[in-house]
Amino acid sequence: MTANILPALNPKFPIPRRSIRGYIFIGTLLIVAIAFGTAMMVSNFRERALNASEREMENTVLLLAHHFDQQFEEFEVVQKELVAYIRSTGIASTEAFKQPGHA
Amino acid sequence: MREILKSKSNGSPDIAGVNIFDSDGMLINSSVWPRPAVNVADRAYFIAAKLDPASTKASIDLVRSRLSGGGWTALISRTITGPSGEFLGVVTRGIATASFEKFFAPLVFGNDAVISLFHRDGTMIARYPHIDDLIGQNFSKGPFFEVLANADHGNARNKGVVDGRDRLGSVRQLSNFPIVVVATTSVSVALADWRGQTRLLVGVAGLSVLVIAVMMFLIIRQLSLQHHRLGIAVNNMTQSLLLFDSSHRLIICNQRYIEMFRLSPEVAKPGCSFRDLIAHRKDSGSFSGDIDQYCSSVAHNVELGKVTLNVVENPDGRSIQIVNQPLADGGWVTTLEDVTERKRSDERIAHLAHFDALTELPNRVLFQEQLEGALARIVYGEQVALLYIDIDEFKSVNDSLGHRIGDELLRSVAASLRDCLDETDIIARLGGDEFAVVQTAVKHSEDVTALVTRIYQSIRGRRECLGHLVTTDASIGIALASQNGIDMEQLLKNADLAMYSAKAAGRRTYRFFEPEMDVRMKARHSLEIDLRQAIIEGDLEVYYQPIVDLQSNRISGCEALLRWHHSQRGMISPAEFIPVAEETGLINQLGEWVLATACAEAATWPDNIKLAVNVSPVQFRSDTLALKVVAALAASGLSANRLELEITEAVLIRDDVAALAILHQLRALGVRIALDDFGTGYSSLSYLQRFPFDKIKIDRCFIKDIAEPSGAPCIVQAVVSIAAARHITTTAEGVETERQRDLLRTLGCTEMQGYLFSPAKPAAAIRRLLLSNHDRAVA
Repeated sequence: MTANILPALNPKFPIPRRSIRGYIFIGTLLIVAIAFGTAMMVSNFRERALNASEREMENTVLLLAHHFDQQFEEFEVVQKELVAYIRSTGIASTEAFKQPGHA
Repeated sequence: MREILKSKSNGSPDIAGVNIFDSDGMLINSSVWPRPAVNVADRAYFIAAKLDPASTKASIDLVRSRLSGGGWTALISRTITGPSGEFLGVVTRGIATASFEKFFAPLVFGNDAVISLFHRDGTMIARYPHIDDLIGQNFSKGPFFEVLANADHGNARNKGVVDGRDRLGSVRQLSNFPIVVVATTSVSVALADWRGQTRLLVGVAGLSVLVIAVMMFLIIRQLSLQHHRLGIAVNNMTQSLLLFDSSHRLIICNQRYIEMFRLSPEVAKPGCSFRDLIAHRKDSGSFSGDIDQYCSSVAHNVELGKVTLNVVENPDGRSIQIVNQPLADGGWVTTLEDVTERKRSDERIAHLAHFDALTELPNRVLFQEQLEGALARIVYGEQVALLYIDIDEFKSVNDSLGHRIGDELLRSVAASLRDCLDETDIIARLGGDEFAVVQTAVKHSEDVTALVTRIYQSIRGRRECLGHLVTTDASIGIALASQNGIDMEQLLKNADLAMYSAKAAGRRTYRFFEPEMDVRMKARHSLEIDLRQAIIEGDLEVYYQPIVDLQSNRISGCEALLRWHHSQRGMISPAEFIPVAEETGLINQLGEWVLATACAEAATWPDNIKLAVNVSPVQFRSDTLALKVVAALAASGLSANRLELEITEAVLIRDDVAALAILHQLRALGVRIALDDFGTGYSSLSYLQRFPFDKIKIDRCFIKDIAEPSGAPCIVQAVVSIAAARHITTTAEGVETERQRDLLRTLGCTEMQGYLFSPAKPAAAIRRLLLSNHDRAVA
């Protein structure tokens, strides 16, 4: 009977590689997704870090601005008082003002 | 006045003092003492104030101090006007920029942080960390001042002025003064934590990718390995295998399938549709049906979930068994197997089961089927004749010329028989040399006899078998069956009985079955059963008939004869039961018993009295006869030369070498051999030549009328003469009258036996007779 004669081992096997290709596709997709997600997060964190830093700077300048506003206000008050005082002394001319005794 | 100024400037030690300048720019009063001679008429703020004395707003300028050593000073100046609005001078207050920077210092954290103070026009007033070259420079074109174009505060990014690195920062303008505060830090410092996070994130992501990649690799490798193994398994099975999915697409096709139909691997590959595959087979000549019809029938059966098994004939003559096994998912598995050899074997086995291999005639199995059919088809007024044909002397041909000749003879006879028959007749070989013929549509018994005549004509006569001329003849038994008749078993039995009857009638003839045959056979059967019973129960007895010497008139010996007292039927003749015993093989047991009993009895007789015992030809077929004789002699103590074994010519008729060898063995023991019943049967004189008998017993039929006028004493005389010439003694059987005895004595016969002297008697009677007559001559 011819069927008794087995052919030599033949590993060539016409099975579709679809399943293997599917696995490769899914794996690649997963890797790409991880890479993309990581990139998004990194970028997001970077922006947040910069924003936080900016906010910090903002607070600092706000504080300083208040402080200096107040300080300069004080200086101005002194000057105003002086100008008012000079006026009250009745000095009416430049010459009179130049008199060292007034000062 | 100076005290007032001093008091006003108190509490702010870092601030250059309060100073009043006149309309010419000369310092006329100061919180600093002694008052330095300083003129500020050239300063921009002074010129501006002089030009527009109506302005009440304070102005702020960055100047190099003229009072305190030339350091950078932020100067706040205010115009002093007279009552009528004339310009009188300015009052200023200077703050050293270093004092700003000192204030910034604790607020700055991190390496790269910078806090700076600008004039609204872009001039840098102070910066921490301090860089002297930058103070006084204008940065109005920078990104922070762009922000201020639209709002009083905001954030911006720029390139570092000092090192060119990316920076970010916030800017805010004072609400009442033209002063701008800016705080910046480098992007790299701002992102320090982020870099750590990023490293961690990328690390985790990289690890995940690596794990996925390794797992993918392992899965794919495992799958490939499985595919590889499955491929080896599937491609090396003896069957072809196809797997289809629910859309009739090929999923698996093994190598065996491609080889089986010599298909192109380009077409028969996964993805190919079922219809395309069949079409390809049609193109390549391995499919001969209608493609569409075949495909739709397979698809239909798959839909029904039916497993189908078909054996189809390929155009090239091979038989292919196709099994379609539907699967749960709507697909199916097809296995194909080349069953050509198996089918041939099956057919061969079926043929062997129904036909005789030697003669190619139907065998008993098929014959019985055919006979049954023939019996069922009998029409009214007709009969069926069953003929059993036994080839006479086939066994001797087989034994003497060999099985090849015997087989050839059977073939030749079978061919002859076949030629005698009509189309509707049936012939079969039942085994051995037995043939059976069924003649149908028999209207008269003449039809049967005509057939028998034809059979005899074709069988009888010489035929040549492999160079030997063989004469054949046949015994035929015939049984008839009519429409309302008889079951097949009975018919077969009847034909068999008829054939035995024909054989018993001397062979070479035929007999129709008669009911008496059955009766006789039954009687014979019951006799056999009774005989077995008799052996067990001891109903058999050995009688002895004296043999008398004709010269001396003395008893020279006794012949042992078996007698059977049947409890119901009385005495039964040996002629009746000995053939039954020979046929059933009981004769061996009987013969042995008779020999042992007779020897034991003879041992008690006087020494000159011999013992004669009959031995059946059947006993000669066993090789152990001589041994049994020796055993009987040894057990009884009888000397061998007192024992005489009587055999008939049937022992020699076959020219049996084995039988002759046994006779010579017995003779070597000293046992005498007598030829019994001489003159009947063939009585060939060649027997006398073939074996040197010690005695010839002349059959009673020659003695009966020897004294009559029509008698033939010359035959007896001839036998006696021949015997005398060869020194053989002669014994006349059945001597009943004085005349017979006297005549025999005259003719020279040695001994006689018969009723004239004594019939056969029981052992006790014969012992008495022997002892009383021991020395006395018989009258």
